[in-house]
Amino acid sequence: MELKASAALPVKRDLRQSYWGNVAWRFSRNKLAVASLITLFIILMACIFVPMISPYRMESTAMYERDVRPNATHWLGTDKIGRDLFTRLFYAGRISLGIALVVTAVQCLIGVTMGSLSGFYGGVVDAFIMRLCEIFLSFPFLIVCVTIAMVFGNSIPVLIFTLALLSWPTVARIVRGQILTLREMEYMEACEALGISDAHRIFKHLLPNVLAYVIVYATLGMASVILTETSLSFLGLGVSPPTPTWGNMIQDARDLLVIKNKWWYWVPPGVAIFLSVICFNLVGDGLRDAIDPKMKR
Amino acid sequence: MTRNAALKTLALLIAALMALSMFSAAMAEEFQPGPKLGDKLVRQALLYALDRENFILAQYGSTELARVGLAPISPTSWAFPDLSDLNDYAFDLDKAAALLDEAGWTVGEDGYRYNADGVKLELEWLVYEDSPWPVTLSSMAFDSWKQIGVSLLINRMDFNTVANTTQEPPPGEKMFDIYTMGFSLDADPDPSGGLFDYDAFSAGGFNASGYYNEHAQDLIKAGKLEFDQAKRAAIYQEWAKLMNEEVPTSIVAYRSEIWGVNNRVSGLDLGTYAEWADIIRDVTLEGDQILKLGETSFDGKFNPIYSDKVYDTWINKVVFESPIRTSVEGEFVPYIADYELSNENKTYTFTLKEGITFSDGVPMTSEDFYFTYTMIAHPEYTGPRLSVAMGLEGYDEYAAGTAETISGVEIIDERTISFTFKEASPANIANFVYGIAPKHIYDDGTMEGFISHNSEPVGSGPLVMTDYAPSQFILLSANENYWDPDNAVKIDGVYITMVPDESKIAALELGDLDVAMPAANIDNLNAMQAIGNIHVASYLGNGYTFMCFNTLN
Amino acid sequence: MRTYLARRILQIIPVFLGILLILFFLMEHAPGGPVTTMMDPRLTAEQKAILAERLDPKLPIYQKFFNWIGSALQGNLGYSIKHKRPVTALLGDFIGPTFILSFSALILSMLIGIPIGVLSATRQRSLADNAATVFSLVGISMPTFFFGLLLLKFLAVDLRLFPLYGMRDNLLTRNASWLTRQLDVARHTVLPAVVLGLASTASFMRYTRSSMLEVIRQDYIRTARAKGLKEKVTIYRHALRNAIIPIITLLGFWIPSLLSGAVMTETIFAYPGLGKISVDAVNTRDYPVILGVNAMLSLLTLVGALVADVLYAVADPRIKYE
Repeated sequence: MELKASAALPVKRDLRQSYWGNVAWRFSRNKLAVASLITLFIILMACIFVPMISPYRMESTAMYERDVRPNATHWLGTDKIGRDLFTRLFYAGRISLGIALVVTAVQCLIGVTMGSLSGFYGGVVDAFIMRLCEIFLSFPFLIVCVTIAMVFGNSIPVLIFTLALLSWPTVARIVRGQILTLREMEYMEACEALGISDAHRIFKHLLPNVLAYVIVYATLGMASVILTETSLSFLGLGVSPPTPTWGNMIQDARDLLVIKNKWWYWVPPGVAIFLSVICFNLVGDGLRDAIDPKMKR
Repeated sequence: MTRNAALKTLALLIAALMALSMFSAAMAEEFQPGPKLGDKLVRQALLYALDRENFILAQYGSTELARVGLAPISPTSWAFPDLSDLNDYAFDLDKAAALLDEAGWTVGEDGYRYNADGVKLELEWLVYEDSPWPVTLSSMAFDSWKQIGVSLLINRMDFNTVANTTQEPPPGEKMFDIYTMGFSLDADPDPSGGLFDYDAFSAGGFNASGYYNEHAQDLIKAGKLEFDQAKRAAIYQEWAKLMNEEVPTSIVAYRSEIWGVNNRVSGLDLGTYAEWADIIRDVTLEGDQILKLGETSFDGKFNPIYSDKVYDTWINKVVFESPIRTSVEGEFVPYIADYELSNENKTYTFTLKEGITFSDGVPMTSEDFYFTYTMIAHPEYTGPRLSVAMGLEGYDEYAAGTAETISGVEIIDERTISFTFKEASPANIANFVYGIAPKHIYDDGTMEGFISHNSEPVGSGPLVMTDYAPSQFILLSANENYWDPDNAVKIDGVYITMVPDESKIAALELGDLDVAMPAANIDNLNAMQAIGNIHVASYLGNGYTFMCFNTLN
Repeated sequence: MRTYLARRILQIIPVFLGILLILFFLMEHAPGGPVTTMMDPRLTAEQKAILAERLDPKLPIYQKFFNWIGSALQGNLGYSIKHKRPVTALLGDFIGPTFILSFSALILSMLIGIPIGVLSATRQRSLADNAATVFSLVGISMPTFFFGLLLLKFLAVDLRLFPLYGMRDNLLTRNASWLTRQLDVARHTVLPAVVLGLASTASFMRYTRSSMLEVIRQDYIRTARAKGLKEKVTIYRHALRNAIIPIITLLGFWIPSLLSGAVMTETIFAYPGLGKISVDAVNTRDYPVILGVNAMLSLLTLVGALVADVLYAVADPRIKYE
């Protein structure tokens, strides 16, 4: 019997053969990470679809139903001026998660650009960008946020700008490190010998390899931004009421009487923050393990 | 004349003409009331559509803690008009709608009101979150004003930005329609320089509403000059009624202050105008002879001409003694000096009482009086009492450097000194409520040296500061060398600890504190009333919260 | 090494100046000024203008900058507008508590984090390891202020085990012995230090664990075991010593981080430290204080990083800087 050419036999496309397919498969084996992803998805859906779930509006006050404990009509109770806290929790989620998303995106954009330039060109460019990174990393974080808020006002775009400004150096350093390693590899020398342009080399050859690390960092970065934004809002330096974020909903709890008696004001938002952050961390860890099982924790 | 010269002259003439016309235009320009808030009917309608009673219940929890505001004078003042003369703008949506109709604002298709020129009745309110009540009030207004067709845009920011936006820009460029804030009053009801005085409507001035009423301005000026208290009261009452009717700025609420006092403390007579210098002398204690007071914070500026925090001022009032103080009724009475008026009421001649000594035994003389009060005129002075010096005759020459001393202040003998003001006014006496500091300790020729004593005050008062840890505690002990032993304090001292507002009640309950003033809201009131070993004292504070309308819009 | 140090120190200077310049720039453009916050109704616009000029003279920015640097080098950081005291005196008063808090948090996190990290590495997959992993995950995911509020509620309010606020119970201890007073401070510092140290404990734990794991896999450990050395000796004398080295670099990160992070904790627990002063300074536009605190903390961050790198080189003879 002759062996027919394998081209004649139907070839089953095995997902495992592609890079991202591989990653996805390894990720799916990590039950904790998958569970976290699902949880995040649920939270996200709830935040987006809250107007359909809840009959109350975010800002509508009900003077005769103030300080109500959680019950059948108000699942998480009401606050001091009668606003339904369940509704506000998820609207706040929109803001907190939205800010985290935008900050991470901006931070990655700036970080990847700066890091690539720095790693690729080296020399003076590298030195300058690294000094810039040091400057931004050495700012005492909270105080700078406070100072910027004082100068430019207390609004969401300002907050996003500040947070992105103080965290892009970390991304830049990661990208730079990766590029430095990859740059020396042989195939890059080959590209250079072949006369392929700088931009082409950066975009088509180096970046895709760096991308995986950036994605891992971005996921973990989301967790970090949520924590920072909520902390700032709690101090009154981030988003200001009545626009709710998980952080400023907890502001009321600075009063001991509220801490003692009115847990529904501050515990749900705190739990929401904790849950989202932990999920992002787990997903990020899961991604990291999936991309490079040898990468150390 | 050559052609060039002629052209130059022509250019000059044209420039001069332009300058002149601009100048006269500026002079002629009067700020015109705007179509929305410049109309009294609109302002009144907005008030009728604001349920302030419910706001007070929502924010403070009980009418014991706050009352609906009526006029820009404290209800406890001798100048307050009869209640029946004032309109409380009780919540009435129909009336509000009727007033808007009358003012020419008709409801459009979108449910909001427009006037004949097509302008929409839309207002922007600057709200700060540092305190909760502006948020509550504006949220309520949002709902109820919508029902009468008024669109409200709420612009959130912090306290400093609101203060900045409303005060700093020059008239005509203040970008807001409404803002709310609190205002604390002096014992003297003179409204000059405050929210309702058109003269304070300028860049950096306090009045941001731009409302001009000639009669109101005349009343303010008349009240400032009238020395007969009965006549003065009548003037202010008429003015208050006018402001209540026109409401360029509405008084939102009068707030009370509540104190928790341990039952072991007797004789603590707190009140709107009661001063610590008085109160502390009547206090007696059962048990430990140190009174434990909790304060939210202190700046450490224990200097009578520099302190700007209430808490620092309390301490100054017992460590230092001032020539004049406020009585329980809110009037100015002599404390350690008597005075006489002369020179058409422009000159005050003070005579210090006999035998006054500072806590180190050195006698107080008019030199100390002179020293303390003229330090305010020092070119490096950066405290809040500038107005005291600026009203004195001879100050301008001294500040400009053309005079060595202020001609209006003269030492007559060891215990006598005279102050002459540029203008006579019954409010001038209010300038003398600041304690006198000992020249032999505080004077080293420089302002730096003067303020270096801020955290170690030495005065003539019944208490001395024996220990101080910044932001933690202050220990005041009875002055053993007090010059007036009949009026000395009956306790051994006062221990003041820094306690954050939210922990005050817990501290009272545990007995860690004897006296504390928590935020005036219903939760705190109920919590304190439930505690067995303390009793609650409350009184109407000397101030109000207000809502200012930008009448130029 | 010496050239490396010199180079690094030289590098710190432009970075520090860069930070200061940016801060100055921000101050110049901040709306409002120290006088707006002095809301005295009796001040007329004219008077406010006079005070504003005295408190914050209108000089060109570069002149202000050089003036400040010049006097800072002489040890004078200006006068606090709000407190009317030298900024250095103010910082001196309040930096003590912040240091106490930060270092307590640091010691706590090292005392707890490192041993558990070791335990976790040596007994992989055991209950202890899993529990430690969960704990470290919780530690880095929990918002500090929320954790603080939870502890405050359960331990201080409900169970009354710890005091509610402050650094000292001034009333109880004003006449007590030195020891009682120190114990009182310790009692007040426990909750804030725990809250502040949560994230760093988790971080130390994770780092120690991974570092130990890496070291344990090395050949020389196998040799030690093969030599018949007791397990304990192997672990503690050989593995741990080598594993500790990279942990030292964590110090360079955490020391400044804890100092700035103390702001949050001080707010919740009313601990009288730098945090409160800085937030107050920003609210009242007290520029000299804002500059002073920021400058100091930035400098500490930069120096901290340098110290960590140097310690790393000292601890690990394999590392050579030139």
